[in-house]
Amino acid sequence: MKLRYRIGLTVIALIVIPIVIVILLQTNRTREMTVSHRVEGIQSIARLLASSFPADYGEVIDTPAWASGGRLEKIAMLNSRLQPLVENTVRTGPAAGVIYYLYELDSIVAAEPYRNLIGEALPSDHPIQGAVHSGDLDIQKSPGHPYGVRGVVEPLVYRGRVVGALLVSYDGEAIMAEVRRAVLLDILWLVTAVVASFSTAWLLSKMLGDDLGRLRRAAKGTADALEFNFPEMAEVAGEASIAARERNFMFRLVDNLRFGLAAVDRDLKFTFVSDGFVSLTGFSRKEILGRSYHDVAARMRLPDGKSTDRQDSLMTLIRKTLQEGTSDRFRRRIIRKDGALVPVEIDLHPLYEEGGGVSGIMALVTSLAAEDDAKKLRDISNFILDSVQGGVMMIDSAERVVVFNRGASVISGIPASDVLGRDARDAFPDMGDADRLAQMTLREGIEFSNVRQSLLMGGSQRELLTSTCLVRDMDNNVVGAAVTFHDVTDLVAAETRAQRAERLAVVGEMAAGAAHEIRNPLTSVKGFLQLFRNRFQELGLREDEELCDLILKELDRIADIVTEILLLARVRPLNRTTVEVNSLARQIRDLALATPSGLEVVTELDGGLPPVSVDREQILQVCWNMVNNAIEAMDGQGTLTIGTRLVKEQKAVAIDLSDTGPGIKREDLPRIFDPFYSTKPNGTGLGLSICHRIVEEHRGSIEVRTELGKGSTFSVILPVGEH
Amino acid sequence: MEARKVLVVDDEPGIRLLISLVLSRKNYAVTTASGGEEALRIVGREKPDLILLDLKMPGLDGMSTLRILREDPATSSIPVLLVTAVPQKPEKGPSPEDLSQGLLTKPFDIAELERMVEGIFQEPRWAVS
Repeated sequence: MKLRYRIGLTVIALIVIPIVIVILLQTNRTREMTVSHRVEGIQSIARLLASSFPADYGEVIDTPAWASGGRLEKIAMLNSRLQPLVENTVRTGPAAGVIYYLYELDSIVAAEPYRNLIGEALPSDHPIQGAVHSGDLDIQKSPGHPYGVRGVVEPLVYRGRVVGALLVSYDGEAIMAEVRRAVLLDILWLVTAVVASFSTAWLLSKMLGDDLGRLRRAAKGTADALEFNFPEMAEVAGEASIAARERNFMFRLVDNLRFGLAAVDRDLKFTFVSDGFVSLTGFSRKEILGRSYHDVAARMRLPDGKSTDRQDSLMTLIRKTLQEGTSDRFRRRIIRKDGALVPVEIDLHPLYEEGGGVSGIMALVTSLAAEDDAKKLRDISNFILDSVQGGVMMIDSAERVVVFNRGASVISGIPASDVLGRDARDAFPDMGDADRLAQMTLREGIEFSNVRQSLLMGGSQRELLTSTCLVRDMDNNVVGAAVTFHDVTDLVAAETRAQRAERLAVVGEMAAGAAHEIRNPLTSVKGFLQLFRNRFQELGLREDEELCDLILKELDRIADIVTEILLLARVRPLNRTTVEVNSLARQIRDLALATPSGLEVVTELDGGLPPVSVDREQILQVCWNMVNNAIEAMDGQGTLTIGTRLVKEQKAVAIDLSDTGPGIKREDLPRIFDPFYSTKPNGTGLGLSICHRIVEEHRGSIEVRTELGKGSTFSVILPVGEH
Repeated sequence: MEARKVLVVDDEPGIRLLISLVLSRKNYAVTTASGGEEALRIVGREKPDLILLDLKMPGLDGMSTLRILREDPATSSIPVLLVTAVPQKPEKGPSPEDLSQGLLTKPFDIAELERMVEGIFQEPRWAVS
């Protein structure tokens, strides 16, 4: 037999057969490894998705919309947050499907590619239910399962509580195809190896045909080398292709996460940064990777060149993690490359080398104020601020107005654009002490609660109830002061009216009793006195008769006061008839002209007024009382003006009675309708009280405008359409 | 002609005295009662031609007395003049004015009292034959 055939046979015997055996074993191993790698990959995806779930879930359920939403709205809210992540995950592979299931809603809230399941409840016997409840997280990889599920289940944990389950499934067929590809690759290597060994043997046999010993040794060496190396190479190559794909996928997944990931080695040199970390810090990969934490931190400067002492405390925590191998979580504000402060939550986890020692640190950095979140937060807080009834103003530490809500504009009559950004002292020149409360709070830390303030705003006197408080940031530093104020003018007015009504009710009760008790003896006294008077008249005792008349007149005054008190107290049913206000005004004019006062009487009547339904006699009594007051106030000279007009916004008509008298003093004005309050020497102080009572019974009102030295106008306002 | 009999009902002795004095001088035969029960006893005994009835009295008040008088056929046609310090309308049912021949509000002039009493007897319907 020729040497080359012997070499060929030797190669076949010594190399090819073992290679074939090894590679046949190897294909089996490849199959198992491919499957287990896949499952591990799926498990990694499941764990990563589950670990990013609390942040997403927390943000969704912390919104007011969640609290008020129904089941379907909640599903939609969660879906809009989770669906893009789910779709992205499935698109980048190798997971074939992802399902988020929430127990609270008993619903699938996100799913890909089975989108028709979103909003559906799971059947109670579905493996996803049993798997999480039993703690056995691996679903049976049974191809014959009624739901055809092959995959892994991770519990979705929020604040220590399992709120749902995550199912990441894989496509068995695709994996088998991959296994087939890997096995095919192995066989290809086998063929290559066999061909290579034949070729080598052939070449060697040709080159070293004469030297059998050398040839044999060389052939043996080559064969040994081949025998030894080829299976290793195939294994490495097979694993490398799977591992490369895995790594590629992991990077893409990590880069899709909402938070930033970075790793440093023991020397604090950055060995890994994710896209999230890059966009969070503003530094590029080139500026971070391979550089030490100190170099990067040194570049984190505020625009004015200052660093923050917090960087040093961060360093201490990093060292601690490195030395003690403990995890840590804390909140900090980091300085971006552009100098902006970003509040973040940082998770530090030690990375272990095979021997068990700490080889570095992985940092998970979550932004607490991503720009869109901040904007959303601002929108929500503005919405809330504008929805509250009261006024809310806030000044920053430089005492500039930074918040001025709609309520504040409505109450003060000042548009927000006029004051925002301005110094509080300049912004409200007319407001006196109002803004000083905020300044005192800011400067001295005194917080005020429900301080009553009387302010002139927009030309009218307003009663405000004001509270202040300090505003602090996350680190408990004072950053400003907030003022809340409520307009209680109407409330105060209502309180005054209620007090007056209460006084009137008490007076009324007393009046009926007192009138009876006074009128009875008054009747006897008056009657007997009249008898005396008649007797004196018969006897011609003129002087005594006149004295009797004087006493009788005084007794009549007592009787009149009693009558007025009764009028004030008595609830007489209104005898409503349709009355033309102008005819009433003319009647008042005629009465005024008939008094020997010598005053000028003018009428200013609106011709197109609707009639009102009132007790004509009582309203006449009211007007006449006011005209009498006017005549007395003017003391013989001046002009009495009787006017009528339409009060459109109140659907009412008004009778205005104006005099040119001295006007009413400011301190008297709030009390002129109080019973027994009179500024006239002989007044009972009941006239205007009675007027007020009568007009209120008509559901009308009396308005008074007065100016010292110029005169007063009393307006009797009567509603149209009241019956 | 026999003097006309007037019954004055009032819990105030001063007013009973005053009205008695005024009407006696006008030649009326005046009897007085201090309350509703006493008045009804006197009416049953003496058949007065006119009753002056105070509305607010302790015990049987004027309005109740008036109703009893009006419900009894023997007394329903006796004219009644009401006297009161505080006129009040009842929430339901006929007002005192509807059941009587007039109302005198205290404090009244004695001339007014005389005029109203005379007015009653000039009314043909109440004329006694």
